[in-house]
Amino acid sequence: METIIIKPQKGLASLNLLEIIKYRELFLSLVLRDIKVRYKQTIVGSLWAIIQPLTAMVLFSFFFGKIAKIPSDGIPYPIFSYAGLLLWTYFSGAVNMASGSVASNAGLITKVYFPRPIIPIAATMVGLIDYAIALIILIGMMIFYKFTPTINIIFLPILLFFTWLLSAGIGFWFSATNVLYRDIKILLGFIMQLWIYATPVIYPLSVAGNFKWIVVLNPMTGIIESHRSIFLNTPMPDLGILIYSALFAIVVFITGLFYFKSIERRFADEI
Amino acid sequence: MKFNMTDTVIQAEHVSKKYVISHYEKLTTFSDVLSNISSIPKRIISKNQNSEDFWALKDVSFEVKQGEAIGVIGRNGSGKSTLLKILSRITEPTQGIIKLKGRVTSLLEVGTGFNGELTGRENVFLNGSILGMTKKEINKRFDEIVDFAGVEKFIDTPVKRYSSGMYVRLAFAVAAHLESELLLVDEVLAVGDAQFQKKCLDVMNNLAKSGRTLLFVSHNANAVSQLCSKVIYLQDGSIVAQGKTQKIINDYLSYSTTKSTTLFTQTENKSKEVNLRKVYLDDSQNKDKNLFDYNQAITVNIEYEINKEMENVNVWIGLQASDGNMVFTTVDCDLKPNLLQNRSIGYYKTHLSLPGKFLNIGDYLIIVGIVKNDPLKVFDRVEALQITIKPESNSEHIVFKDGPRKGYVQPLLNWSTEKLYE
Repeated sequence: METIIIKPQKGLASLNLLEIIKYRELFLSLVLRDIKVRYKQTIVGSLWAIIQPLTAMVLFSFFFGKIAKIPSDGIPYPIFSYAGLLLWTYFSGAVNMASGSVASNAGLITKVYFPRPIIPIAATMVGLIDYAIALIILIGMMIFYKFTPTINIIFLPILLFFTWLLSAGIGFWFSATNVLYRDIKILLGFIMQLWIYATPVIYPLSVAGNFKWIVVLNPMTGIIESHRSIFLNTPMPDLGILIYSALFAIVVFITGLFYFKSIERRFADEI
Repeated sequence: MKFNMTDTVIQAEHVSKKYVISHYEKLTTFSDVLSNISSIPKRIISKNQNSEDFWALKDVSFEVKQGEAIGVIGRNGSGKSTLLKILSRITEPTQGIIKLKGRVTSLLEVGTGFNGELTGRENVFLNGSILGMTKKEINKRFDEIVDFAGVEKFIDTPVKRYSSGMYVRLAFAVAAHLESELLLVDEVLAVGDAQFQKKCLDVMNNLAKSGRTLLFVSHNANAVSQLCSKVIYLQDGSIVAQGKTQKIINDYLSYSTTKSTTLFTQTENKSKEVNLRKVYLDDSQNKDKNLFDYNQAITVNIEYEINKEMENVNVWIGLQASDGNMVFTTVDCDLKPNLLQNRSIGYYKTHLSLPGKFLNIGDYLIIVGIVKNDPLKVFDRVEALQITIKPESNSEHIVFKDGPRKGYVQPLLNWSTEKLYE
C-alpha cells in the first residue's frame, strides 16, 4: 500500500515530476473544464478566438500597413501581421491565464491536495484551441493571397512547444508571486501590452537594422519570425537566434518551476 | 479487501504548526510597500517585537488504526481545522511528521471545484477527478451517484440552475461514492436541512462500517458521538484527551472555556452613525464564564452609541446552534415599537434575559446586530459571544441515557395524562 509522508519541507524544493504525471486525469479534467467554460454564456462563442487576432490585424493593417507604411518583407501586410498575431495571441493569452490561475483556483487550493504546478500548466493549454480555430483564418488568407506553406511547416509543433514552454515558465513565476502581491496581474497586463511592440509581430525583424541585436534579445523574436516564415516563406531567423529562444524558454520554465514549488507551500495560508 | 485490523493508517508524531502574526498591517501590494517605505527599516529592526508566533497546533501525536472512526473535537480556534488541513496536505506542518497509508481523500467541503456553468454530469466527472477518482471509477458509479442525488431529470442542466438543495445533494453524492480507504471529513459536510444531515451521517456511518477509516472533525458533540468510536479532544492546539467517545464527549461538554470570549468590545467611533460598543453576559453567579446550567437564566447586555439623531434604529440578537442553524432571532422593538421613533445622540444600554429551562444542552453563538430600517443599513453584525449549556449539576433528568435529547430547545412542558379505561 502506498504511504504518504507529511513533514516540513527543507531546502530546495523537489520538483516531483512523477507525481504530476500521476495526476494526469485531474490535469485533463481541469483543461476540459476551462475549455468548456471559456465561451459559456457568450453570444458568438468560440468566434471570439477569431475576432481578437482578426480585429488586431485589421487595425494594424490600416495604421501600420496603410498609414505608416511599415515594410512587410514584400508580402501583403494583412497576412504578414496576421501570421504574427496568431501566435502572439496564443502566447499573451496563455501567459495571462496562467498568471492569474493560482489565485482564481483558490477554492481548489485551499480544499484539496494535488500537485499545484498542474494549475498554471492547465491554464496555458486552453489557448491552443483558440489557436487552432484562428489558424483556419490564416489558411483562408493563404488561399486568398496564393501562398503555399514551406516544408518547414513540419517544425510548427516545435515552435508551439517552445511558445508554450515560455508561457508556462512565465506563468509559474507570475502565478506564484500573484498569490503574495496581487498587483502582479496589473503589472503583467502592462508588460504584455508593451512586449508586443518589442517583438516583430507587426513589423519584420529586417527593419531593425543596426538595432537587430537588441530585438533578438527578446526570446519571442525568433519564435514569431520563424512562425511567419514557415507559413509565408519570409526569411528564417538565424539558427543561433532560435537556439537562444529555446534555451531561454527552458531556463525560464525550470527556474519558474523551482520558484513555484518553493512558494507553493504558502499558497493555502496566503491566498 | 485484505487487511489487518491492527494496521496503523495514520501515525502523527509531534506535529506543530506555527503562524506568524504581524502587528504591522501586512503589505500585500507594491503600493502598500511604497507608501509604508519609511516604516520598513523599523519593521526589519523590530521584527521580533512586532510579530508574534501563534502555534495553531502544539506537539500533537496520535495513531489511527485501519477501520476506525475517529472524531476530532474542539471549539473554534482549537486547531482542529489546522490539523485537518495538514493531514489533507493543503498546508504543511512546521514540525513533526505524519505517515498516511493507503488512498486518502479529504472532504473539506461539498462540491469542491463545482462550476455553475457546467452541467450536473460534467460536474460529477470534474468533482470526482478532483477528489481523486479515475474516469473509469466515476463511469462505473455514475448511475448510482445520480440516483443517490435524485437529479436524473436535471443531469444535463447547468448546475447554476439547480436549487441549493439539489446542488448539495449532487455534490455530496459524489463524495459518498468515493472508493478511498481513508476519509478525512470536515463537519461542514453536514450542512443543509436536518433530513440531509441525517443522510450524510448515515453514509459516513456505512463507510465506517464497511472497513474504511474515517477521521471526522467537528465541534458538534452530537454528530461525533453518533459516528465515532474514539475521539481526540483538542484545545488551544494541543490534545487534552483521547479515548472512548462517551467519556471524552462528557469532558468536552462540561469543560468551561475560561479563555473564550465572554466580552465583545469595539472602540468608540464617532464617524459611524451607530456603533456597537460592548456585548457581555451578566449572570449573578457566574461572572467570567460562558458555561451555564440548563436551568439558569442568561442575561445578554448590549451597549451602543448613536452618533447621529435618527429613526428606525433597532438592535437584534440571533442565537445560532453549533450546527449553524439559527434557533431564533429577537429584536428590541418586537414588543416596544416606540424604540423605532427618533433617537437622540447618546450612549445606550439594552439587555435581554434568556429564561432558564429553555435552551437544550450544547453550544450556541450569540450574534448581535444593529441596523436601521427603510432603507436598510447594517451598522454592525458580530458573532459576539459563545455560550455553552450543560446539564444541571444535581440532576440529569433532561439528558437521555444515550446522550442529550434532540432539538435546540428543551422546554419543560405540561403534559396531562388520564386513565381512560382498564
